[in-house]
Amino acid sequence: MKVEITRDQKSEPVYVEIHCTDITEEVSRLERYIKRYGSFIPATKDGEIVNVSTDDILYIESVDKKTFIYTDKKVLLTDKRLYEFESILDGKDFFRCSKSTIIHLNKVVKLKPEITRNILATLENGENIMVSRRYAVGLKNLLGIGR
Amino acid sequence: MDRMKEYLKNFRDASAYVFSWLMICILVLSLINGSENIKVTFLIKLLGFCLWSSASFVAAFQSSFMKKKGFIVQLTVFYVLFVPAEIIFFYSMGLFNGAGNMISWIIFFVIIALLYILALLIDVLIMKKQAVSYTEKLEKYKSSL
Repeated sequence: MKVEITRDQKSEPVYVEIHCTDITEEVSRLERYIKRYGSFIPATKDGEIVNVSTDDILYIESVDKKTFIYTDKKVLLTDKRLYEFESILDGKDFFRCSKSTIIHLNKVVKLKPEITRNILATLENGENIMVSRRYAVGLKNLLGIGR
Repeated sequence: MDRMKEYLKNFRDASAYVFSWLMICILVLSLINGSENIKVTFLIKLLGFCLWSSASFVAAFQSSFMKKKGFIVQLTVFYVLFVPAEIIFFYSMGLFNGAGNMISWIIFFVIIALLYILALLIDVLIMKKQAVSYTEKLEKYKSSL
């Protein structure tokens, strides 16, 4: 792959164009990666507005009609609802794992099925998140488990 | 607040379910034995037993904190909360005819221990193996992103 940077005063601050002979899986991955690079979500921490990079999010949880974004070091409050996040965030990176939680699959380091048919997901920071029975089927389909 | 509401709702449902089933079992048992009397004190103790077992069950299996701990931890917490209360209630309700005999209590403890060991074996022998394959699939998926 050849990478070229061109200075252009007329175009947007940074404009990325991919030239390829065919749109392969690798090209699609590159496109997705570029699109999510620098994508931020506004949230509040102690009354201050903070932009959270989607790459930093571990999971998003709704508690008592409030939505919280969890990163490795911070817990931030957002006014968006979970269903809004489902449409904003990349469906390949983020997965709705229960009625109240959306999990960042890139931050999951271990999956363990339970006798109860739930799946226990361990995140990079050691925290466990439960993928409920109802959503476990969707996760298995997404990961190609049982095929 | 939502979590508390959820807890109370589950507690209500579990209590109603357990009490109804135990009442049906006691009625069937009374019919088979031919005994026509059920004491009010017995029913009150039964209700107390159902309320405690439901509270233990909901606390161990349905609370959002415990859900993150995994099944074996949940089961252990449930056993710790429930089994001592079960012994007290069984004794006070006279299910083993007062203090009972050694054999009935041994059977009681063997059933409890067997169920726990069975759950432990399934977790160690089956679920841990599946966990490895699930994690491999996850890693494969992540590398394809």
